[in-house]
Amino acid sequence: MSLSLDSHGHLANKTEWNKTWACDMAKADGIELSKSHWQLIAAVQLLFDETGDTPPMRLLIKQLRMRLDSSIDSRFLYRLFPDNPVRQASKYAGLPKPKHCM
Amino acid sequence: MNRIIMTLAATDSASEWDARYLLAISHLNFDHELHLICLPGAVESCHWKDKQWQALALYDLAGCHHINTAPPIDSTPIDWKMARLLLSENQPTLHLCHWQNMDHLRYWVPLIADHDVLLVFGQLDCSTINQIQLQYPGLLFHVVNTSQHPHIKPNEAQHINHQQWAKLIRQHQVVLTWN
Repeated sequence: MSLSLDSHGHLANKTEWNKTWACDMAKADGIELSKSHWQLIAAVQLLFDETGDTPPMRLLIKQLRMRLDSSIDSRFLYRLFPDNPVRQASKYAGLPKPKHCM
Repeated sequence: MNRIIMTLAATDSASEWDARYLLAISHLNFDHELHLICLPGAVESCHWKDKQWQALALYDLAGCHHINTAPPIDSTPIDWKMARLLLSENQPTLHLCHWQNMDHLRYWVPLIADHDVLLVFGQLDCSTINQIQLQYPGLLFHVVNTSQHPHIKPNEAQHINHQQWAKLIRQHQVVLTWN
């Protein structure tokens, strides 16, 4: 499924996001999306709706601990998204590149 | 824990608002105790969206204070005196002003207390320096560089060189850079 991307490789229009697209994008990066991935993606989408951006790593972990599981840490996130958890979770969630990401 | 007080001013440009938001988020990301002070007109000229304010509240902003108009999150009304107390706990403060114009100076001057020092740097001419002296006769201020004297002349009353500037910073526990 081909949807238009912005200059950073993120979905240009987040309302076009769907799970098939997310799976395809992740697969192209060598990631098979699991239940844990989807939980994280959904949490990031919710946070984006509330705050207008995806937060940096430590703030994201704090929120995930409160919302999903108190044992979540950076190692857990890096196992799911090895390149950059915040950036990759945002990308597969159909969200723009977080403002704090260089 | 680092305690950070961030002033938000009506004099901030759109790009400064963006930079301040990212800086605020960065402080919160590293568990700094962040307080915001909204100076008069700041909320009215604010370039942050409501969601960005909500984000700061969600990510454990330690406190928000405002003079005049309140921002769209929990905030405590304060006056200039209280703002000054929050910023410096009444310690003598060095105020650093990158010269813009008299309006900019007038906006920030209420934060200057007795025994504080104002240091102005940037391009300002002699008539402006005279104007400052006339309007604020008790104000202790120094100038680094002027348009007429681009090379610093330490012998002139208000002019200091960069070593003296550094010395002033070392002498003051609190240094407030005006936005």
